Amino acid sequence: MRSPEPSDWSQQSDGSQRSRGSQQSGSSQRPRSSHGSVRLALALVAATVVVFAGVGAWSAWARSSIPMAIDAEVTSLEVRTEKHPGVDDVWLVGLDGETHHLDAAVARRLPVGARVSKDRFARAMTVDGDRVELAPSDDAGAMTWISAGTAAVALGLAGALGIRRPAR
Amino acid sequence: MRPGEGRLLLALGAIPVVAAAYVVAFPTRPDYPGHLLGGAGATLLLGVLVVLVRRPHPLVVVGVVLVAVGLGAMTEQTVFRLAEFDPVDLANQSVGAGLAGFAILECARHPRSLVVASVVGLLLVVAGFRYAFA
Repeated sequence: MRSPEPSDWSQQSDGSQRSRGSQQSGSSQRPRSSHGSVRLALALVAATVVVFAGVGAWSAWARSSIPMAIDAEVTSLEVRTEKHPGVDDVWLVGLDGETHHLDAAVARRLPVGARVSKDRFARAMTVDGDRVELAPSDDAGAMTWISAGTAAVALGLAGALGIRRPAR
Repeated sequence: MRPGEGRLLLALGAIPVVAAAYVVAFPTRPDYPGHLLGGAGATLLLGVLVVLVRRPHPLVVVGVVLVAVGLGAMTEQTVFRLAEFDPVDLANQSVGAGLAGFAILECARHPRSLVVASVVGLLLVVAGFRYAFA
């Protein structure tokens, strides 16, 4: 025996279900607005994926220090290990007392006591008068394209799942 | 295949596809796909529980995803905090939670698919832990 076809959001707010016949013979407004709720939910879920994909990419880029404007003294330098020492180490650099997680390649160039300056989004910084070139890490590059791909998948899913099924 | 199950499979299938892309993109960072898979699996299981209790309104499913994101932030800040609170880890597990949200929306439309969703959710959690702690 088939249960009521749940292809539309035909459930009432009290948890009961409308029969297929009542959807067809009753007001056509209810199924239409329910489908609107589905589309809104799909859009919000897709937006969640897009936002956090962006957060991941931005966070990876921020560790290169490229997005940062800096005019500070290096006040501390700490390396914390995670699961794979030497691979996923966390380099924490204090700049005027404010701690930043930076890529190892950048942090290694910043001895405690050094004076550091750079413009926002500049690809070079000055460390005690010496110019230091900056580049995004491999992780940041990979995170950029994979975040774009994931966002595209989410938007594609929202579009595909939001298409109303033809009446059978 | 029952009507509508194709959409559920599409939604569920997107999760391992994206995770596979992570594995390829970050060969030295298995924790990245691990967080994505763990976030997706845990959110899917949470969604299954909600659908079991009461077939939810679509916007409630959005709430389930956001609750999962919040719980993920709390666990990242506490039990899974190793060197520091890592916003990349939070982002990856939240992307997984969002992708699971699509599948939960389809589960809510087709409650008979809850068994499939539960099994997939468990598999994703196990795979997530294996990658995260590989």
